[in-house]
Amino acid sequence: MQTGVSSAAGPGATLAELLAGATRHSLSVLELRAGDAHGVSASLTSEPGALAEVIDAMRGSPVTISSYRDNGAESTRELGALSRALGATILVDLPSPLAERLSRAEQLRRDGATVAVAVRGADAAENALEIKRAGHAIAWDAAPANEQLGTQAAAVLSASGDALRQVRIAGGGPESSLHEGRGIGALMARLALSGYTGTVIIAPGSPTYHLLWEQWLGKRPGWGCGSHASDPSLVTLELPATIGGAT
Amino acid sequence: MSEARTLDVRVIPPREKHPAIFQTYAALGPGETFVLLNDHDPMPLRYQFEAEHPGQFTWEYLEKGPAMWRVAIGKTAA
Repeated sequence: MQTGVSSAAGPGATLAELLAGATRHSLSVLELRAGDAHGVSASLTSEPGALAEVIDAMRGSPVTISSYRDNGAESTRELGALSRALGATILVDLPSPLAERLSRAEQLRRDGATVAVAVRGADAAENALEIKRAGHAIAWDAAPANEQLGTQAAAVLSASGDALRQVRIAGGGPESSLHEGRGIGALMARLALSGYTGTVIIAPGSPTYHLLWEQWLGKRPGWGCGSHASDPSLVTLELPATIGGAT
Repeated sequence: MSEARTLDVRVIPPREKHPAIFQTYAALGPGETFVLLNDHDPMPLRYQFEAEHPGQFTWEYLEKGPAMWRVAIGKTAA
């Protein structure tokens, strides 16, 4: 099992900042969402030298890009090239019926990508079964803030079997203490016992927690001495030049 | 030892960590092992194992910080 973080933790973070944040927490992989500020996109594969710059940036880092979350806006041919160049799985995650997602997954596979199809919510296990029957891998987006993971985990893991490649926990990391009693511990124990060899990705449960995540990534200093200088949203208190008789 | 059996407790809420670890241990067969990943030395956990499962577990550090600790925890053969 490899553990990593999604670029959703810092949608405005550069690739270098995401790599540094993951390294800081001894995580080994990144999930990149299409459209975040990390600078990686399928179109890089058509720009001479652009992808080589990304690969250079990764060189020497203990962190690798395990997955790239497709939003349906990019060319499958370019996504196939991106998948091969980075060794990353393209996660099909479109707000469309399962049949359309499977169709896009099939096209991506024909274009040379390693593919997994995302499932979530109450239909996760049922969809996972269909995706597995279609011969594709599965990425489960678990949301402990919205659902009890215990019973759902059993159903999704049973339906997915060895086709499960990624489990994304929306609400892990710095948020995890807010989701006590919702089954994250039981889920992780179940994954361990099943010999799961895929990735576990932590991501924000809600944009509400973006400051917490930016601080966790190391993009924003914590409160206290020195925090003011880099946070323009903080107010400066104008104090008199002398207080308590000082001169 | 199967390295695939890994329990990363860094993503688990604090109060669920020890229950998840003992749940994993309980499900092991005699002679089986899992690898615990944590962001600090889990020494208090070892004391809890010694209190609750004396002589029934093995404990081997695979990595000792500074950012990550990996410990192979096993169930001794009957």
